[in-house]
Amino acid sequence: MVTYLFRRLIQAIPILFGISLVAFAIINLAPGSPVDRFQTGRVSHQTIQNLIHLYGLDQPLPVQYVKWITTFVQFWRVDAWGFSFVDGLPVTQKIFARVPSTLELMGTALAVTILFAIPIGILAAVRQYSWADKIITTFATIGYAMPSFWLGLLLLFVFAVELNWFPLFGKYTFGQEGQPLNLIWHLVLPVSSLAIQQIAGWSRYMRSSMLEVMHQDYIRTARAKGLPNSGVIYRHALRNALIPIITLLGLTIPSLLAGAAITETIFSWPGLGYLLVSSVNTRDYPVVLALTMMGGFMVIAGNLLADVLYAVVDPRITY
Amino acid sequence: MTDTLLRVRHLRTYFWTLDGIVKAVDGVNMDIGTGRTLGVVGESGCGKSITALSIMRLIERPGKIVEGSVDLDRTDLLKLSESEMREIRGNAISMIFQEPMTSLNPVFTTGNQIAEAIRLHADIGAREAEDRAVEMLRKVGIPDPERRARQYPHEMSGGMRQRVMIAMALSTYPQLLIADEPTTALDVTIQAQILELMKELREERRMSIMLITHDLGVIAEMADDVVVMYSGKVVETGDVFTIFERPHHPYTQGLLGSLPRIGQRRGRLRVIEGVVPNPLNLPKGCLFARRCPCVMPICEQTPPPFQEVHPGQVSRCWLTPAGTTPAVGMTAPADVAEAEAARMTITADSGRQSATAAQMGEVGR
Repeated sequence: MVTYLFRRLIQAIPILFGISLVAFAIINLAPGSPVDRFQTGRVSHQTIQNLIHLYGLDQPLPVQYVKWITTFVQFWRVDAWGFSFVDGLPVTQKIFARVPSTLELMGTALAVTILFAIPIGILAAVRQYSWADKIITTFATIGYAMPSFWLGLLLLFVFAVELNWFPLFGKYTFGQEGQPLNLIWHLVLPVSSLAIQQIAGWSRYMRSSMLEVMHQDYIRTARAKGLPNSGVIYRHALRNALIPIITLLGLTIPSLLAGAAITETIFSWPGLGYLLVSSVNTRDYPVVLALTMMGGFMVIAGNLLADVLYAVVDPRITY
Repeated sequence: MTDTLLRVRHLRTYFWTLDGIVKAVDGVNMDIGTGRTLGVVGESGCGKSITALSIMRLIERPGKIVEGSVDLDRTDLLKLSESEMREIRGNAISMIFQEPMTSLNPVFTTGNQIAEAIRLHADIGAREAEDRAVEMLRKVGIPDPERRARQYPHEMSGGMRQRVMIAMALSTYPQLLIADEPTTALDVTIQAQILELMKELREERRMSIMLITHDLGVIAEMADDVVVMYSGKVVETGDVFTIFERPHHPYTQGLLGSLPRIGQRRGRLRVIEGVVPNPLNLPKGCLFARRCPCVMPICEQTPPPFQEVHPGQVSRCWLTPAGTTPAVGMTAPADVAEAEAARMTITADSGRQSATAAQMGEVGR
């Protein structure tokens, strides 16, 4: 297992290099430049040229890339990921200040997803073609079809603007920072907008996985033993049905991060997603690149986590 | 004749498919004596396995037991509640299946799965159940049972897994073991070992066995009595010697005739021409008529009744007990057959009401 993990981490290195090349190329191909926001007519041409020189943007792209990547890999240094073009703070510091907020949002969304989607999927599978199954299917289709930015705005409009049940933005009410209940109150809407779509997708996977397992020979064996239905479902079927769901977990972790970019922006949640969107808007290259690399790392880590969990739940898999 | 342990009467199990109703089991009667082995033979799809699953009441949608009775020691299993039936399953009646490779749960150890069966039907602790599971593994001839009990099914061969299945089925000391093609998926040497094991345990426990197979060699080896099924119906029953020596029904004759015999080279094996009739579109008369070498005009018109062709041997065929074509114009069947035919008509008419009764027994499933 340890050698396997080590090998997988080594394999991640070339992948991350590939990601860095693509990310660097795309950000430089994209229209706009970090100094665009100074082109207001009130900043002199010379000042802008000085800024371009200061950021190193006047050098050829390959040189820029090599300079960036050689310092970037020294991630243990505070200044390794460069300094933000916007406020001059070290990128590492900017990013890690926001990690807890995103983890709170993502973690809650993921927990809510699992908590709802798995029982819903089981119910739909066990009562296949029943009314419950049909209702679940209908809602899952609706939930899956709603884009999260639209759902987020809708939730915000209905529950924050019109009904005034939940706050409009942010993580805490001013003056109540650090209070758990206040945090939960602020979490409800963004978590809902992230989780509803995930629940819709997950419950479908859970249903089909469960249905497949329910038709296996060993389920018939379990029934022939005289096990009650609950024992057959929760002991014999569920454990097997969860194995493919683990893949989904590995895929969902990075996609929640992407979803968080939109959701955090809509709800002004001070997390990584919000930072990413604002950095893209200001063409804050070092921040955008660092966040893209983190996203790439999350995809690799999510897949690795899924593979490790396979070995934990399925005795047939060993590394 | 010994006393009867299991008595199946007029069992009908239908499947509601998109194309129509498939009468997978259509009026099956069979008796299993205490301590005896009943062999159930027939081609794939003749209803052998569905009969077994109906006895266990393990038929799932879109299938349903619509009629009949399954008496185990005078208790009609079809009238029990689901929770009462759970007490029977795996306890009084155990079942082993054809596919040892897929019949065990891959995520639990074998010892765990056997112990689970034991604990379901006996009020004992987890440790004690595990010890008994190891004992059972030893009994079915698994070497190093302590280690094997901690292993997962994928760490064992097919023959080993079938032994585990047998250990699991027998761990609760059942009165009846239903073995649905227990050796079909195994190679010949393992097959012989498994059959030998089943024989030993049968002698030791005075257990009854319902052995489902399409392998007549296995029947000859194991069975005391034989039921031959065709297209959801029983076509011939009798004790194993009678069936092998004097098969009456042309289908049974065909099955026996298509066996290769060691020491005889006849060039080509004999086969039964044609295929099983489409279950959605069964012929009007005898279901075997289209493939029967002795087919007569009456066979195409009227389904044959049961007739006792020899004491203890019953055949569903229009041929005379001697196996000859009856006199032309014969309409009145023999006494036994007449009574049987009359009964069949009555049950067919009352099918609807009985179906409701059977469904009421199904409430809670």
